[in-house]
Amino acid sequence: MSVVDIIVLGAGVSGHTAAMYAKRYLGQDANVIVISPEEQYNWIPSNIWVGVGQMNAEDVLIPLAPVYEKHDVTFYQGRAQELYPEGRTLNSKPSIVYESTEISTLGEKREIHYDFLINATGPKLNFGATPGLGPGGFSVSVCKASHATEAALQLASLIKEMKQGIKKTLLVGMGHGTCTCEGAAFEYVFNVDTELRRQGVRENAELIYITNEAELGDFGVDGIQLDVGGFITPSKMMADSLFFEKQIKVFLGAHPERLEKNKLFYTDLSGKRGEIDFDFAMLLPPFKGNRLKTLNQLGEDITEKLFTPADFMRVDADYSPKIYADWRPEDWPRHYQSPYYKNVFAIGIAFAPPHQISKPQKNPEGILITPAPPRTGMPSAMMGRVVAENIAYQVKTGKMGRKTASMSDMGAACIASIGTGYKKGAAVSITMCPIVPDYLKYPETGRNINVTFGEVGRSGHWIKKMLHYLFIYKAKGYPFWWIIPE
Amino acid sequence: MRDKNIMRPNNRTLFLRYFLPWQIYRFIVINIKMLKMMSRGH
Repeated sequence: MSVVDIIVLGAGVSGHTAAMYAKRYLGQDANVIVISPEEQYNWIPSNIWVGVGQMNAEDVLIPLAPVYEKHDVTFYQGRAQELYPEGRTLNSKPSIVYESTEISTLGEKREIHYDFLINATGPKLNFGATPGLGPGGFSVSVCKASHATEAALQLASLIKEMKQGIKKTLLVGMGHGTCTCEGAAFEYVFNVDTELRRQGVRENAELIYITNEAELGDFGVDGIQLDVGGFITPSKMMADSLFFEKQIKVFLGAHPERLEKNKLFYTDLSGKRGEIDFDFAMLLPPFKGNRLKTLNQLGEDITEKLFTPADFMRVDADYSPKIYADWRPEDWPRHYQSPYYKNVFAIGIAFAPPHQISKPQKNPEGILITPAPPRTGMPSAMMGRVVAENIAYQVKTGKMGRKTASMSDMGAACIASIGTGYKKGAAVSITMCPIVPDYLKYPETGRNINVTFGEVGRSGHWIKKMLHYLFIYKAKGYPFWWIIPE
Repeated sequence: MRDKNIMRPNNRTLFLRYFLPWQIYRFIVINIKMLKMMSRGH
């Protein structure tokens, strides 16, 4: 058996998982090469704690080079730009071209050939979708550790002013009508609330949550029917209750149109337009994919064939246009394999979902205000592992690996922090299965109610903290890292 | 923005959310539930 070259683009949760498992399964039979523009791995779920000053950026970042060196994985710091899935005229082996983002070789381009390609490039943070949004504009974010650090600094400075009795308005939520990751904004607003209470300034703060969800608790998965205290309870009730309890004002079904200094302009599902004044705003951006210019062997541009207009890569999903009533679990990809090139895969944020999970809604002007499907964290790691397993199977047997990781089959655990601290910390612990509701299999709730539940409590915080340390351990590739499930 | 007919936790629920013995028990239960759910997905 000849040694195969496996290139993994991106070293986030899905890419890092795929690379580590590919090397573990194939050992010396594979050259695993990771190309990532970042030199550090970021355990993003803990960024919310960095954003309130309860963790440092170093606590959520891991230098990648030493981890890969230890595990015999080649690491190039760079951004993939071009894809040649049929090779080029002089060499028919498929290749990618990346541009170095390392200081010493900044901007240099290099071509690398592959037998298998795993696209795990993650999201492009599309702050430009809303004028004035983002760290370069008038709001902060917690998408990156550096963004979260900036958020924590701004929050600390505001708290200082509040301690002098000055009233402030803090706005947290989604920066566009098509954002995903509502869970992160949900966690952040409650962590800000906890931090303000800890600092004794909550009464000087008006806390506002703005979301593109039509109702709280949607989380981009069409809401969840949870087993809570003997009742099948919609996640909306649980979320409504929490926001009411913490006195956080909510704007639902909102699409921020632009930001100016201390002011946000939005429209909502009813078509109403309004403004919100703020002193601090943490607003998440919508995501785009990372498009690679793709050329066939004849030099023809086939980018549009492989990527959707939002720059996500098409895989084995059913992308035919359908109305909400016709959506089926089978629409969702199972192997994350390109329909055009069987040795190309896309996982995590990089794959194009067939449609939303939440019911799409437009306002009277036709503006789409609906959460995009979440595909981060646990599901994206599962995709990474399964794709690595399938590639390893194919390398060893010559047959296509058929393990699946469809979001319409797999479950997810979501531990949403609502405050940190071993005594005062708490979290909403939610598990659901499957992620994409299946109303044919589970006609009443769309999910298996035996494993779909939620509750609020201090134990949730312990679990979130435990998961932080476990996943950092796993990402560092310490002994027996593979025992820790995704 | 939202109606006032909202489910609110009673004092017992608020107490139990932070009551150490109960939360240790829930920690174990939630972990088992998570493992059960993961075993279906892995």
